[in-house]
Amino acid sequence: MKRIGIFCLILLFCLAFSVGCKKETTVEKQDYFFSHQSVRVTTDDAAKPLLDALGTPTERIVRPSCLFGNANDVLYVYQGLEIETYTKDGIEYLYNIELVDDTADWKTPEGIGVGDARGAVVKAYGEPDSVSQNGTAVYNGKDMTLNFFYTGDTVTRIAYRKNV
Amino acid sequence: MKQIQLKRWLAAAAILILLALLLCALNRLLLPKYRSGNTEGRLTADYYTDVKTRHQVLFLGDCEVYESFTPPTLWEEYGISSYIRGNAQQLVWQSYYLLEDTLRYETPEVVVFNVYALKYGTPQNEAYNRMTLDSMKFSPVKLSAIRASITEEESFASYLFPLLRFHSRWKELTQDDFTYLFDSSPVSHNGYLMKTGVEPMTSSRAGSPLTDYSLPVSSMEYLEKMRLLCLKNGIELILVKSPTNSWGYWWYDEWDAQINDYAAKNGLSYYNFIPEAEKIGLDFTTDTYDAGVHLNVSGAEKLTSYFGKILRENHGLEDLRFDSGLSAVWQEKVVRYQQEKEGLLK
Repeated sequence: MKRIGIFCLILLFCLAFSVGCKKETTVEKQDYFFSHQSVRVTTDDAAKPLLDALGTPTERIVRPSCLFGNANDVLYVYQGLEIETYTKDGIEYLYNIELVDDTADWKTPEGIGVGDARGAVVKAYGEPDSVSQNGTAVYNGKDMTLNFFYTGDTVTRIAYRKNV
Repeated sequence: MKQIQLKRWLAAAAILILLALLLCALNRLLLPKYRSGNTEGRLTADYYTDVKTRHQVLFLGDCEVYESFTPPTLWEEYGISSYIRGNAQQLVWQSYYLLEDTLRYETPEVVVFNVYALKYGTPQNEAYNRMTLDSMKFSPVKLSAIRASITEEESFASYLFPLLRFHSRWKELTQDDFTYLFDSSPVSHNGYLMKTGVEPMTSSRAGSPLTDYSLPVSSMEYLEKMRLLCLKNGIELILVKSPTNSWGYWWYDEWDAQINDYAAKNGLSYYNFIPEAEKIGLDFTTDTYDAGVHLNVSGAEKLTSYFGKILRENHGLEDLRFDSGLSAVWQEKVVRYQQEKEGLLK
């Protein structure tokens, strides 16, 4: 009887422990957002609200897919900002959002722009999830990454990129 | 009594055979035909219509290979018999298994692999997978190709029984589905898919910087498997990069350096045609049908002429125009090629 009691206690302990573990591993990553005027978007969101808010691009490059001729990828170039989209079922979605230089003072909602120091990035976002071979700080979202490219300790490019 | 039992068994067997035939016919009917629109989906099937022809050269790779080299030109100018087994976004493991599949029928002297797809280290997209794999002939090689290719959302069974995937297509059946139910005539010219349009390349924008320039380990592993398979079968493996280089399909110098190192380490020839574009005679205002992503027929013919000379002079491929049987086969192919070209250019 005593043995059965001990066994039940161990079983309960194991169950409680495994439930605890499960809770820990199911914490989901949150995506990082870019905002302009009242539009707040991330990769895989519909592109239209952001494109409408940004107005006419200085350059628009269409990249035909090697398969679906009517489902092009498009690069919209604005001063200091580039938006890449893809089309699925007739709807254009955001693929990449990139702050490419400091000519137009674009900032992330957390207040970081090209030209800021590494310290400011860490203060706003914490330590990166990883640092790539070429020193890029990578923050993992759920289905995307936010990447800070540096030259020395200065941000040279900020890229919201859909995971491929 | 025994006779009755035998009759019952025969009836059951007949019913089973009928059911199997019905399922096969349904499968055939519901599979996309890729005859109008995305003809790329026919490319894998096309190969099996030409397995009896001797091919000295087998091209492998993605759209960069089936839009860059024209086997009829290679034959006309050099007497080199070739076939392209390429598909839209054909990943390196698919190229590897298509090589294995080819070896079930023939052993070419040279395999030319276009390296662009090495940038992908994981399965990408069901639509591309389907076009490459669905029409592969059933064999253990096909099973391996499916296993290596399917994305997390796809099921292995749906590739074995495409009916599971396409059963709802009955609502979308068109005239094509019935016209081409049993028609296996090729849409390509030995794997070359002809495009005659002209859309000039207007932007020279380079690709965006990457966070990591290492080519994926998994894709390099398949390249190594391909090299070993070629070695085992006495085939020379040649690596190429097509001359197209545009935003979104950018070939980074860092990738090129890795391929150069791999080729040098293993004694392979590697031809990167991007810096050779001018020498080849390519004009990206006239030789591309989609703003520089792919070559059109004019560009592909120029590249093929240039590469044919390399194959002849550096790799010793023989002129087979003296072979009357093979010449007759190719004569028909060249006529069909010219007719299609003239028709499309009108």
